[in-house]
Amino acid sequence: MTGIRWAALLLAGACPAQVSYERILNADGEPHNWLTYSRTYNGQRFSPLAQIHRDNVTKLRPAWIYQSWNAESRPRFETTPIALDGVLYITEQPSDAAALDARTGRPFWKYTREIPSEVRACCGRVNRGMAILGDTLYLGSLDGYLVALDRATGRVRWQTLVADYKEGYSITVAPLALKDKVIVGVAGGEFGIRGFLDAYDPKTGNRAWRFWTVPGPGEEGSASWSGDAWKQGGAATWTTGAYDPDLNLVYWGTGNPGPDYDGEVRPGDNLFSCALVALDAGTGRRRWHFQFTPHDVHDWDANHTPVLVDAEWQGRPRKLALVANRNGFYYVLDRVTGEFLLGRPYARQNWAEGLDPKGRPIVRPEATPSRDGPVVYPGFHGATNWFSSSYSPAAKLLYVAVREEGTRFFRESVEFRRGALYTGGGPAGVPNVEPRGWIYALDPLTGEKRWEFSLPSPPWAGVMATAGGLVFGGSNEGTFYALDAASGKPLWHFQTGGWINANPVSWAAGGKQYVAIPSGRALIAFALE
Amino acid sequence: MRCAPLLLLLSAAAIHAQSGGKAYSTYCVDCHGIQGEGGRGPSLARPRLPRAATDAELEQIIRMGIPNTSMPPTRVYGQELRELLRYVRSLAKTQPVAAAGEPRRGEAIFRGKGNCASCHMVRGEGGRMGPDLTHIGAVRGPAHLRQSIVEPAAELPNHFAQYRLVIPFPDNFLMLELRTRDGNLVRGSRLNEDPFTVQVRGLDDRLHSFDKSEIAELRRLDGESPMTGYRGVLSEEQIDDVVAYLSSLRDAP
Repeated sequence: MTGIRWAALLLAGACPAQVSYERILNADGEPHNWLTYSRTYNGQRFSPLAQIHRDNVTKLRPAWIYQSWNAESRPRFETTPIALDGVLYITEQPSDAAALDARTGRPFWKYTREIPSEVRACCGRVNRGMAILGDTLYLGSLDGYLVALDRATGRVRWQTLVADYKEGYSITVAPLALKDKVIVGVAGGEFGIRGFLDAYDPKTGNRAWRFWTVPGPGEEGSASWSGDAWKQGGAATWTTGAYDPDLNLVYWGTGNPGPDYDGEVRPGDNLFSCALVALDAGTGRRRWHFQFTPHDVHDWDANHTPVLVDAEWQGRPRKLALVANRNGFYYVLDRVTGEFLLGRPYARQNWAEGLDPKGRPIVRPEATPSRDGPVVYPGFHGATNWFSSSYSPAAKLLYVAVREEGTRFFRESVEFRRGALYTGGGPAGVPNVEPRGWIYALDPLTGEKRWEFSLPSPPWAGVMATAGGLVFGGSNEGTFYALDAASGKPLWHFQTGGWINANPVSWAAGGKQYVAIPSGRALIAFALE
Repeated sequence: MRCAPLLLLLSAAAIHAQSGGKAYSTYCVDCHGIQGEGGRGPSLARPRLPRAATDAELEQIIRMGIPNTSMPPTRVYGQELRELLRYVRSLAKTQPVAAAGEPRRGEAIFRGKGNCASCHMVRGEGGRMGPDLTHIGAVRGPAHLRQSIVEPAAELPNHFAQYRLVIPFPDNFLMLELRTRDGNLVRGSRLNEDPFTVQVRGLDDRLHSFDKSEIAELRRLDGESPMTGYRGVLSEEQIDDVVAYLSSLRDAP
């Protein structure tokens, strides 16, 4: 660890409690904190802390365990904690929050919220974390509110209805706090919603703008829909995006069009589903979009946190956005213009012959869901999913948790009913083929695989690279592990005993670096013995 | 079994003609048999289905499958579903063809020449390497039982047919053969696995757990069964007798 970083640690106690936008912007200046979902706006989920490194990681031990008592019967603990000057701010299922001492795991306060039992959530009553700005925490609740909590007490300052759960909406995403906006998206892509992304005034909760991810009649992109299909067009926004302060652009992934598997009722490309959209943070106006999977029929939400990297591209510096997509292809885009620069498969896929020069997939019609249920790779949970990739500026590698789990895709007709399941078919497994998983290190500029680490089942946990030359990740079977960022060699592991379904984070408190992962209904923090 | 495809064709035409029969022959016949006599799946030709006393329960099972079994969800709706329900109920009245062999002779072979009881338990007696067969006649049909005896590997449980969020172990049946760095050879069925360890029930009837760093070679014997086939070991008549014995083990589970 450099002298400057130690100085930052020692100064921690002296930092003002208020989390200004400038502090988040300059997150690298206070590496002991984790102030936004991906630590930095660029979505890299990289920790500059290096007290734990390649040569001492074998001495990593559990420091404390926080048990979430209010978890669901089958816990899916997906939170990314905010770490601020020795305090962690976490969310718990379904839409609760707590402040914990970062050195002991002991709670300072808890916020609990009753969620009506009729709230529909396709994939668990989960929450992925909060945003912080000023003295306020921002929580998206499953019943559709953006809730502002006082950082010191956990008391509600205000709450604003974002979307009505009776229409099929819910909120699971960690909001993203910018200078004078709190960005929040919605889930509900299986329940016939029309997706959008919202921005709110951090002080008042008044809505500043809304970007509909499915355009209405006459709006740009509406020709990619027919009839009234747009009204339940899906394209949810349930995974936190990234932000480029110089361009003042918010980058956010959009989910599957509805109904998921029956494309016949929605001919066309179905913009802006399964896309990355770049929006002006001030107005919410779309600067550009790139649709990874036009007219998706395999539930391949592009709800990924894009990774923003500046690099030399074919001889000149360029601002890039990197996405390892659920559809099995890896993409490099110019994030100023949205121009497609590179795309290639990084995982097993059989639905496309490849991509054309503009990055549009050349689709194999036999992969379309039908009554016969064709076997398609990736499966409906994709070659990766919502959990984060991580980029190490030190190793110049992109780390991706990869799934291989083929699916038989069935199509059937479905009638739209407000707030009800609206999928138009469904998936089945492929008998006797055991699903698998890996962590891949990709060369970000070519998409070539540099190394792989094998997992016995397709992961539901993201990765975090650190300046200690490590990559942390988790397995379904409960193993939390550290890999050598350069070679992929496993250096340390610990069996947590629970399903790991979250992204790792790291912070420092009291001069000690911690690495933490939720597992089962526990949040487990590790430090050197 | 050799004549089965022809039989299937003929009878499939017959059941196709009936209301609900088309759906049955599309989705159900492979596992439950042409007349509902059972196969890989349990017999439906009996007055009471233990998991589906009511039509609502039967509909639930057809539409959603049965978790942790080979019964997958079936995508059938509306009129087709209603006809299929009626057709499945009608199978209760069919008289299953009695197995050709003689159960008491079969039991003697099971405990004697076949040495089946060394691995399989029936009503608390026998080995535990293979499945407990106390209720096997209620959940598997004679054709499947016969095939399991002559060619066990062909009738391994059909796993991963249901899509699932997380892959819990033990899940699919998988034989492993591994050689440790200190030279031990272990064969057995996988009970559990994570990225760094693997747990095995050995053919030596012991529970083994290995750190993968201790293993020099790990072979996954996909599609292999620990059971030897009995073709040539028992005569056709003797196999019929064992099938008849197993089919008679119909205590409701």
